[in-house]
Amino acid sequence: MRKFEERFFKALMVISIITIISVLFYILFIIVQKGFPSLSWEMVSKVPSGGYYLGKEGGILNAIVGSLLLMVGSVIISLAISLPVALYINFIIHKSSKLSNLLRFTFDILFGIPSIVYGAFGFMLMIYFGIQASLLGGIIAVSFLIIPILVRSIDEVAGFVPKELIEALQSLGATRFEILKVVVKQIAPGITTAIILAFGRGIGDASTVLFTAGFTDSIPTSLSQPAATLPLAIFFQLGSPIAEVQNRAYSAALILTVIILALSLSARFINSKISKSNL
Amino acid sequence: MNTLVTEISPTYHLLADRPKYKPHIVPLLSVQNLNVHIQKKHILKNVSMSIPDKSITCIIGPSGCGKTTLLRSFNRLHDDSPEVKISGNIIIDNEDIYGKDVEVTHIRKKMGLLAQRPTVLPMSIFENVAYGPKLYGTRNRRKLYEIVKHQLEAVGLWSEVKDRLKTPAVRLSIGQQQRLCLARGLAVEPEIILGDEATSALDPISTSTIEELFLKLKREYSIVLVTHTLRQAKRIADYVAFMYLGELVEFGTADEVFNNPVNKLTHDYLSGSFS
Repeated sequence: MRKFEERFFKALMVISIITIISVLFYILFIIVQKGFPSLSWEMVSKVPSGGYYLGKEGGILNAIVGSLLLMVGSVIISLAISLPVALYINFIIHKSSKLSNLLRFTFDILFGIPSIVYGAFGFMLMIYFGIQASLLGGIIAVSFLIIPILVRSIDEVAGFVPKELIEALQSLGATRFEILKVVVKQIAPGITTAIILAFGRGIGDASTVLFTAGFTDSIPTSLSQPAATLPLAIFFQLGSPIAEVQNRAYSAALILTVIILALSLSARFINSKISKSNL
Repeated sequence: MNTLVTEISPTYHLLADRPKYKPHIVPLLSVQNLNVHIQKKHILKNVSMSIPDKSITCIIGPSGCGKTTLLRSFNRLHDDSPEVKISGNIIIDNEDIYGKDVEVTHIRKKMGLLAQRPTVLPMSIFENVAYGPKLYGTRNRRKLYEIVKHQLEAVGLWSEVKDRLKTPAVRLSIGQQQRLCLARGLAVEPEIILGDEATSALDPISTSTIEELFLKLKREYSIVLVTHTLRQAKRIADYVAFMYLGELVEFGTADEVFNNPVNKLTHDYLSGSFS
């Protein structure tokens, strides 16, 4: 009987894994199957020409560059906010104090808020400050979206920093700031992972940027100009009745996937470099 | 030399200069009426003792007797725990550690802590030792190198690591890591070395290496060790403090405490009636 139980649960696990992996690969397969044929150098190197959305020539360079600019900006802003928050709740106040847990709970809730709400909230702020749909607006809205992710994932790794390390540093006479510098070094691989996670979430999100970043056929040259983004490029092209344009949406999805993949791989590479030199 | 010493390796000849009688202790650090409460529990009860200079003092006692709490109050490691309430004085260099205007980093610089498990910093071997001096403003590369070399030699690690100073410190064995931690502590030029069961995670060979180091280092430093192993205290202690349920029961030279304990509790503990 116990042997049966063991086998049953093992089988259950294997089935779950197979299910999730096959769904994932099916999605990838569809994207490649539909997107690859219309993928061309022109697609990634040119901005849309006048009739692009009707099937004429051009590419989605505007969306690629827009998405990357948007993400670089939001990662910088949100890291500048999240890292101090995560360090504060773990090392300045006691990591299991009431305030720490309250803050964690708050970020958990923020984590669960639909991205369209962040988009609407960002849009509201923009109206209040008189900012038009722009790269800056998109950066602010996406920052709202990814700050909870960054805080919680950095918090997670910060929790694993041994108390003894802090005490060792304290007994060397290090001040709080000096201690935190070493801590950041210690959790650097975790921070990179957190950034990748946030980046992946942010770059694939359409609804935050829908109202805030706007959409344009040109590449933005300043923060106050609107910026096109990949998810919106996919969204608009998918809505087209023309089959060719629809296929281009899949190509755009393929490009987005490749960007995220490349990013994850390079993060892994950087992590192994960091750990080789420190850990 | 008493019988306890002879059973140990011949390198322990340094023990010969153990004080036989209670001397006029030149206290380096003195504890006066120290009381520590953690939440509502009274952990340390009116502890007063003087830690003599240039010798090894071992604090022994059963688990939960407050040994570690006492040691940690020496360099104010309780500061970040609001539930710990401390009263009384701990004086070092005519300065109360818990005085109002005392800067905590200044106090901690005077004491090197060696924890139960070695905790190397996430950097290279060289940077681990250079970390402390850098904190205090030494930037000159050559000077740092001299300090690192000197301290690594002091802990007998130099010959083992001199060709790989740039490798991450975690690559060292546990025993080597603990010696590295000691070197790191020594590099800030402390007056006291605090050891919280500093050898309990180590293998016997590393343990005896560390013990020999302590015997060598006591010529220049005052060393306070919390230890769970009586044998270790017997091997290296000059002075022994026996604690029980938060009270200091007995304090004296190793000879006095181990061979002629005054208190019955001490006698019972040493003879293994309880632990």
